[in-house]
Amino acid sequence: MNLKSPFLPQKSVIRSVVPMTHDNYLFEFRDSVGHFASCKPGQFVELWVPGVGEAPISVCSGSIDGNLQLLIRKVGRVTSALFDMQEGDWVGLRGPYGQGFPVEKYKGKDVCMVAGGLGVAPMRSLWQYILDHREDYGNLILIYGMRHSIDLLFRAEFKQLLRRHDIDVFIAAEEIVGPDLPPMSVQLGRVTDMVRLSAVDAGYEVAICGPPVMYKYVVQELEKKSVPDSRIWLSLERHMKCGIGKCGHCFIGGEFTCKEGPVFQLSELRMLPEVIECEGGAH
Amino acid sequence: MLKPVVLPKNAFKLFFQSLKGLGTVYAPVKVSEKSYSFKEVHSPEEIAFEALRTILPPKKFFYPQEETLIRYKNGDFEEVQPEKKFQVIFGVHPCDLASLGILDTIFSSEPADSHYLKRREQSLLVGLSCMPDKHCFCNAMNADTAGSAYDLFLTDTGEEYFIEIRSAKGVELIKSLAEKVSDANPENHEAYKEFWKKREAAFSHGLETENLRSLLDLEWENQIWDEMGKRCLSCGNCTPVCPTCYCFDLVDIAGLNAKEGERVRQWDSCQFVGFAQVNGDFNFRATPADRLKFWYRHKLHGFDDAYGFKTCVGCGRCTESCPAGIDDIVQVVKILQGKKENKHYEP
Amino acid sequence: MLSSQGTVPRIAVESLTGCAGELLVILENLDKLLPYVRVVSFPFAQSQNDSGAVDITFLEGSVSNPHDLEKLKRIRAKSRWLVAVGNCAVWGCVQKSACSHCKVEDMLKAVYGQDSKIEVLPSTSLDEHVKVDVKLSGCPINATQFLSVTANLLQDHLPYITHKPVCLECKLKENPCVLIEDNLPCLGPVTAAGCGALCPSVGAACYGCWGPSQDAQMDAMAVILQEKGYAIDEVLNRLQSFGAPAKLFERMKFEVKNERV
Repeated sequence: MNLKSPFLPQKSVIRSVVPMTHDNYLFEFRDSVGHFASCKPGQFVELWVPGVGEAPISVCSGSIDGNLQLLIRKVGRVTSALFDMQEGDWVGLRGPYGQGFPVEKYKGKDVCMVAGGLGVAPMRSLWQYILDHREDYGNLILIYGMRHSIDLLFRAEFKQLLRRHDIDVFIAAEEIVGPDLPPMSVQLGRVTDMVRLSAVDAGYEVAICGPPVMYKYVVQELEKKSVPDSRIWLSLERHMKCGIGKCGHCFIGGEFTCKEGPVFQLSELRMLPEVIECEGGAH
Repeated sequence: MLKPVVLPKNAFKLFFQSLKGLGTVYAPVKVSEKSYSFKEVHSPEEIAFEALRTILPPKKFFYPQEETLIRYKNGDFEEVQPEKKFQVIFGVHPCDLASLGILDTIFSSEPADSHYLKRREQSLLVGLSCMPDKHCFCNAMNADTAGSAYDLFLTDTGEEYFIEIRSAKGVELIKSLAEKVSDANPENHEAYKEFWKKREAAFSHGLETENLRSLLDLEWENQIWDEMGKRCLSCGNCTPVCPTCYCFDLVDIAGLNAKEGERVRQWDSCQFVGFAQVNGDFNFRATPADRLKFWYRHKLHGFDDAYGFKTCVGCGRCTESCPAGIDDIVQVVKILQGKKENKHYEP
Repeated sequence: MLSSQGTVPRIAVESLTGCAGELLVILENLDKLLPYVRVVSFPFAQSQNDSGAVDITFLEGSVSNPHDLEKLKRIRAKSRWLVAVGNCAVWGCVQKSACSHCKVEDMLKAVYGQDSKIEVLPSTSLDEHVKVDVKLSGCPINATQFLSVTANLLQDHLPYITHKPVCLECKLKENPCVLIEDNLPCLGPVTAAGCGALCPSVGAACYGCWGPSQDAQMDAMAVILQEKGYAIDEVLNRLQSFGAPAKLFERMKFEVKNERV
């Protein structure tokens, strides 16, 4: 038997590190052999810092062409260790894993993308993909909410997006702190307020990604707008330790988040226990 | 299909010698007043033939408690291969064989777990019949016959062992014993059937499982989860002893010189509070009741859709090794089914 | 590596009120560390000690007098990483639990006489006074765990310490359960692992010396021991011996009696 261990990563060299805020950096990894070229929006990779451990990280660009971009927040041991690394250092990468957003199903439809906090990273892979294939999709809405406006990520990109006429962009912060770019583009409020303000209706496919507590409230808002469960797609946050449906940490109901997800159709999730309710968190 | 053979018990020593000729032999050994454990044995005298359940199930031979998967050194890394060593596991009961069939499916589903499969390949499984005690309910879980995961299966018919042969490895071994074994005759077949009839009649659990698939979802809010949750120690004992629990943690063990270290896999348990916790301190199963209920559902219903089987094989290990006395699956199911007068869990 | 400009990382090994058990474990394993660090202060083991800044301080013992507190603050100020080693530093150990049973002044008088000049404080763990970067419990600490934690810190990474219960280690070693089979008052279910289930491995009950496991279910443990015939006073005493914080006992369905001495 000559099976290779599924836990063996690809050695990947850091090509660049761009700080976006004090605790969010955009890392770019060289992917010269095209191992990650098949990445789809919403998929993730397992990033290994030798001696520290692995962490699941969402892919954050619409296409991977020789370089893999990962937006990383310094929250745990692995990400902290990564923040100490620099251009030229290497890490291990495994993947891509999971089912991403169903971009094929969205074709010809209106799409609303709702991102909260760091959920903007996986969502970026989706909006970039859709904008790259703009003619295949109908109306587009992009909602991005955060605690403090100073935490706004992908500032330059949002500046460009706000100028476009083929996508409605709503940015909300619970507190406006620091520079607002461009002026008045960040509104005071929560993602749920933006969902209410937006033109999203029962005809939209809605993709959501954010902190676990956000889902319940966004879904409630969408219900008020009569968006059916079959058109709501949630990217779930679970501890996907192995990424290959083995370690059990991300198991919910009858599914492995890492294998069948992380993006699930809400109608599918309604059948499962303990999906949206959770305890703790900063809220 | 190979015809079954019969081995007189007085020739067992030779049978054992043949097993030893293949590699290290492990069999149940008595380790305390009430407990048994699969350990290396050098002679038949060491084997506890009466052992019903061992503390840990045989999964430990293929999926060890801790194993190094990757070693890194001086800027590079490589896979650590499992040790090349042939192992014979003797005395595996039907429920444990069924559990290995389940683990085979899980670990070989894509992407396959090469370490588990390599260890499975370099091993011989010799099953052994048993008589159920009050905690056994394998027959209610479709795990009471030899199933498919064995090489040889021995049924104790009194003076002889009636041996079923399932694999090429099993055939080889039996061939080497040609002078000691004989083809099973009609009388042996009768004795075999008699044994299994007697065994079937010995179960006392009274568990019926027809509605198990919907039961756990229907009774998700039943009060017994909280009742049992209050007693639950979150010690996690129910999971390492479960023959089909395979959840693990992956950790890095760094060397002092910063240049080398290992990536290690260790058994984990869904009963620990950190198991379903994610960044930002969100916890999807924050209380012992949440975690206990999850485990019950997972054992009795969780893989119905993903794999089409239940992962409880009715071995009774969890019932026996729960210090709080809350892992009596039979009683819980009966309460959920409304088949028990008392609707409260009785430890 | 931790220290910049290619210098060797500086470490200190210090103690407050404790039994020196952790110091001994560190001393026994110092040869493994020496190629990678400079031990600038280790008063227990060397006579020449430097009080300057260090990368890591391993600090044993609880804060049990004003001098300890002063020393702790000084150590915190000079250390990049402060590692609390041993139950005393992490939880407060037996001296803390004694202080929850009676007034520390009464104990002082009972032991040293009415007019003792010794200054004392109710014993506390380090994190009640300063920020502790890493908590490495034990009684004493486990050498392998100590070395791997140090390896992480030398590479400037926080270590992964999980506080899963002793039961896990005990089951992985496939020990017969002394709580179930022998009805011993084993605290394995509520005690942090790391010792390798030392006591149950030789047929003795775990008495909780590593401090509580993560999310220790003290109330359930007390109920189960009571059912085995142990008196509640005895059970509580056992559960509280090694500094388990009071908040773990909040859910107890019965009154915690503290007026004993």
